[in-house]
Amino acid sequence: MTDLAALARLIERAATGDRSALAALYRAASPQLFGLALGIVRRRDLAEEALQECFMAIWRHAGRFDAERGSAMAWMARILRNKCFDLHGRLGRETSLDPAVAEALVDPAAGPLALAEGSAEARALRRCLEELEAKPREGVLLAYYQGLTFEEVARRMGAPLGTVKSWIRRSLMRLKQCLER
Amino acid sequence: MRYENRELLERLAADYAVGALRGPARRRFERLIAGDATLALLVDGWSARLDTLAESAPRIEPPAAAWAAIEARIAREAAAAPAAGAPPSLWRFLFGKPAFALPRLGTVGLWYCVGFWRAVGLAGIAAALALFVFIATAPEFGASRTTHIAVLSDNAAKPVLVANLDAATGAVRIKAVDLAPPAADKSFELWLVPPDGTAPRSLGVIEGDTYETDLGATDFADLRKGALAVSLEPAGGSPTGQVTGPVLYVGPVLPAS
Repeated sequence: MTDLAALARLIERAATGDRSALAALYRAASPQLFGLALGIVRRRDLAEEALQECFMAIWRHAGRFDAERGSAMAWMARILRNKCFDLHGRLGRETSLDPAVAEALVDPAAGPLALAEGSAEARALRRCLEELEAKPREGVLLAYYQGLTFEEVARRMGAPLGTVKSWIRRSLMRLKQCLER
Repeated sequence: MRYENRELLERLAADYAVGALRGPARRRFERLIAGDATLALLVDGWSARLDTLAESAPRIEPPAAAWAAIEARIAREAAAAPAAGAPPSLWRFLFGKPAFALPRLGTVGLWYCVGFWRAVGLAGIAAALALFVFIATAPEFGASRTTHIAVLSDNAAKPVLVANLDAATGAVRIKAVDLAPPAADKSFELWLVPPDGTAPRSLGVIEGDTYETDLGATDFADLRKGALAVSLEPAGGSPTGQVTGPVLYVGPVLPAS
């Protein structure tokens, strides 16, 4: 189980210029972040580039991390996904599927996320995801884990674009309400 | 804040967090976030909710060389740093790369001007409000579709003009929300600010409270990824075909849906 409080302390130490803290943060978080990046960019070289850019950004901007506003993993994931989108935008969307990458592709159609671990926040979100209907949930998870746009989700699911947009947007609002309960 | 306004910002923030807002629209939204603390909080909230999904990502060991490369880059940067404690570069913060890496900086200025974009960013909340007002009054433009919108604000973040664009026809329709007429010897000129940093292109002189023009495919392709700006020029418009007076109002183009 990832200890988010420990990750947060490492980021705070990295903000003071402590390189050993950044190294420890990398050891603890890089496999998960690399898996997340692979699902989106689908090539090991690009995922590695995104991971490097992500950790350079963490190093430069560690002082901006605020544990009050979100978990350490959420903060790093946001940076990483943005780096992935930058790479993806540069290279176009149709990159070939490396078979070695299949492992990284979270298959949302396979049903609710099977992970029993994670922070309280992650468990709460998973509970709320399970309250959604199957297809809207699949749309949200495809967008998040595979970095698909509305258009790509629509093509993948064989559903009209307007339907997919409203599935995802309504699902996000329902998730928010659910998490506020 | 009005409920409808908040709803629009929530939608954009949620689209951004889930990753559906992409490409130039994503970068423009990031510039809005950078200058708008309220919007930044909204986006942080969505990130805090959705990015916990990352905890369920599969763990895959990255190549060993990745960490070595990061360490080497940090060491190089430390060696090159002019002085300890130098403030983080605003350029880097806004654009993700140092100022010298930006194309043709200084000759173009507008697109890459920090003050310009900070002003645009500060306009976020006001812009969304104006946007709502505009959408609510849009039927004045008839049955035309709106595929993209822009809210042009002054440097105090006050929305002054709203534009709705139709990608299908190339139509650009401008409507004044709160535009004081220029002095008798001056005109307002509308400019397309291309995303690649090349010089702004004139879209004509605005007279009165509404203005319409139709763009060709090339201009429209630049506009949908770029911005609209209004400068103060001699009566009748810029004598040179380039911006000669101060840029008064500016707004990035965002997709309408």
